[in-house]
Amino acid sequence: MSNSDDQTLILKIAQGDKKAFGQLLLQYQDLVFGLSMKMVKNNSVAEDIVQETWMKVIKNANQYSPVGSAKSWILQIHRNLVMDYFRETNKWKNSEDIEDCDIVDDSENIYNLIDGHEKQAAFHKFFSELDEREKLILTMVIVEELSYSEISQKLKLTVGSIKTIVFRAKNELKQKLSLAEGGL
Amino acid sequence: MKNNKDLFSENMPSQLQNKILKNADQLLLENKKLNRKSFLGWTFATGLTALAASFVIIVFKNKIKTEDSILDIAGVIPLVEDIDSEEDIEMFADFEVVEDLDLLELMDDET
Repeated sequence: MSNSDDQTLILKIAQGDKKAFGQLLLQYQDLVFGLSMKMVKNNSVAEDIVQETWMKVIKNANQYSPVGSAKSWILQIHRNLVMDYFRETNKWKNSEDIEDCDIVDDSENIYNLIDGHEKQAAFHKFFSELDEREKLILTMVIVEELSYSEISQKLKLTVGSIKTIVFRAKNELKQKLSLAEGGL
Repeated sequence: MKNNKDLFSENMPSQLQNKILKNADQLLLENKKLNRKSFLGWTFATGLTALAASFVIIVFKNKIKTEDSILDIAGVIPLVEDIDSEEDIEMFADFEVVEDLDLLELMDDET
């Protein structure tokens, strides 16, 4: 389904179209649910965030402006709810407490690290173990496909800090996956 | 090649899907009501604007007509001053004020 189709669905949702909502939900429900389950350790909270995301999609449909993609808009609503939860539970660090490190290569596609079902399951486990900020930034890079400067503006962190966080998170995943591979 | 987004997707349980759809009903109904309200508001505002525009046009047209009549009368005053007899009055009453100016001038010359 193209982006303009998604935008039409959102416009219809703003008019109260039930069928349009069903279609949009079917399109992105698995992505929103999967992200929620990986970001939030508590399953019941993760499900609440999924529900709240879709309710906000309906409530804010009349304010939607088709500048970016519909998917980005839905993921942004979800991300804001996840961040609210992190802040409420004091899991969100907004300070620039990141020590510089040498970034060797941050262009690696995470999927290259995972080539089997066992590794995918391990990836889910290790991703959940990452620090909240690392998880959020990594999904902003990988799933939302935002640039470092966009993330920097949204999270009020420097581009250097974002790069360091992404590099460290990927490195941690890589190491854990390698270790797991040795044990498989 | 599979992409990274697939890596983050997980099948959402149908139970949760049903819950979302159920809760969505009320909100969608509210959207429908809100949409209907804003449509009615838009129709009312458009009607009001059209009415105001027609009123302005009518008033403006009347004003122009009144100004024209004043100008006509003003143009006729020197002619009226030239009327000397009862015959002139009768003749003058038969003329279309603006179109027959030439005739009036002729009549004036004759007298």
